[in-house]
Amino acid sequence: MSIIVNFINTKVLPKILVFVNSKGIIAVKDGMLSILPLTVVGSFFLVIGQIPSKDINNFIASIFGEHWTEPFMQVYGGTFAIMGLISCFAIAYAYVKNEGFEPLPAGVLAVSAFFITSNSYVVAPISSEIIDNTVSKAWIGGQGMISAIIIGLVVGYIYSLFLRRNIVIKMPKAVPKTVAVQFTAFLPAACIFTCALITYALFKAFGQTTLLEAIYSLVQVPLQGLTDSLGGMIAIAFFISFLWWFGVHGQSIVNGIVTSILTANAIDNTKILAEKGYLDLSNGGHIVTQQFLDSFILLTGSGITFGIVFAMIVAAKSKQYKFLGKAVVFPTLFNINEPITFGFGIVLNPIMFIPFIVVPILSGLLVYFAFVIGFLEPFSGVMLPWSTPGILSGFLVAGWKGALLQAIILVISIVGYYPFFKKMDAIAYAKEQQEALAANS
Amino acid sequence: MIKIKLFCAAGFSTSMLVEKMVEAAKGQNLEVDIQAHSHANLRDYINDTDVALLGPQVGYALAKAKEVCDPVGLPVEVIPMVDYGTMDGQKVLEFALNLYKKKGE
Repeated sequence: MSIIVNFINTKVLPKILVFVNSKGIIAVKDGMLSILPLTVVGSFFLVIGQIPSKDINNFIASIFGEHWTEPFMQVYGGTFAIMGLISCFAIAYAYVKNEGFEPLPAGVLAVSAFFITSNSYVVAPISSEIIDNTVSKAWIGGQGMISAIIIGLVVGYIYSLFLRRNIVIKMPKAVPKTVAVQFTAFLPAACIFTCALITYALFKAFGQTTLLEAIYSLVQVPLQGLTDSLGGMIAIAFFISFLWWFGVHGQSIVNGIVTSILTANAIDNTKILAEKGYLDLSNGGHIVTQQFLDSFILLTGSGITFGIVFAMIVAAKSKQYKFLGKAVVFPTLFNINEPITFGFGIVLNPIMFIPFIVVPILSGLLVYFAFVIGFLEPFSGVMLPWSTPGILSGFLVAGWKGALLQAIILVISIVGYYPFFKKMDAIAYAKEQQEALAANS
Repeated sequence: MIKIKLFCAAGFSTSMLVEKMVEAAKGQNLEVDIQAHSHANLRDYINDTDVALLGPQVGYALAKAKEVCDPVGLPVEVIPMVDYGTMDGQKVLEFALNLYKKKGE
């Protein structure tokens, strides 16, 4: 065991961490974090605009007229439906900010580059008529997500490169700094626009397509399919726990990589619902979305450590764990469990390895199959901050069925961790007895 | 007034530790200002901080943090795992103060 642990710690983890610490991944993570208000708050308006009950809908329509949902769907149109574009801005911004330069111009340039590479017309769905001077919300929303990341990163990179090499227009000293700063972005802007133009021209000339469309079908669709599969779900659950067991923030790292794709899955779901009026697996609904991860796999914290907290309060013999149990009730409620992973001792603790990996995977399987048999409908509406307390979060994302599944997961956690907890508690108790004995003699 | 800042993934779990550290500092009548933030924003605080501490779960970002902190002479270290896990405010406070003293030497 210790040989394997040592190998992973010295050979494998550093490589993963180099990747995780790379400027690109960090910029994507920071950028995606900044769009959280759009998804979380925007989702509540979407839910009001898409009340699943016909009776309630008809009732409200009888008062406010049948178009009463339209203003609410406007909020959807300005949040979820433009997520790609906003991400593009945020990622370029985050990249340049982390490089230590004034980031606002880079964000602005990224938005321009995004539009330069996109079509400036829409093909009408039935008549195939080309409508000029229009922007398709499909491509600035979820479908453009991966392109948005790529464009945001490339723009951020080019912009930083120009500033680092000091390839900027320099103004005479007499010019006030606030004015001079405006000129800084001119040369990088010229380069970025030219690159975007060439990109557009190349994709048109050789594929009769655009960067966005090509990336969508070649990269994003396969990635979305991958995360949405059973294997993808298990891999996500596994790596979060696995990295945490080595003392590395697995949730933050895995999220940095999958959040953009899981968010695209969630946006797909909302789009299907908004366009077709219903959503299930047969019309393209995705099972694994950000809600799946935040509200189920990370319930009470990475590794679903509720069972440990419960056992510490109910069954601990050692003073150490009795005390810790009381101390962690509050953070556990909000899905924070660093005091458990470090304080109870999960990190690098061979006793706790198995339940810490297995409990979240089992719970993920339970939820996954709840979708497959049709017990749950794909998550469409509410997106919650990951710190939303359990049961409540289940209820908000999936009604009573979601709350019930979370309750079952908590039971899985109690049962799964109990024998391992007993072992840990017995060790701690024996140590305390020995120390007491030594102190008395 | 010594300004200590703790950085973790989102700033949630370190904020619990901050409370414990503030309590410990009050007990000793120390003039300190302790805050928790996300390590993504470390750069924003370097000029307003005397000691920077990273939570062990983001210890992997230490090399990066040093790149940012070293040029301004800001000491930055990872909080020992056990002290962090047990939320031992007293020990982490001492840890921070030691770093601060070392910097002065």
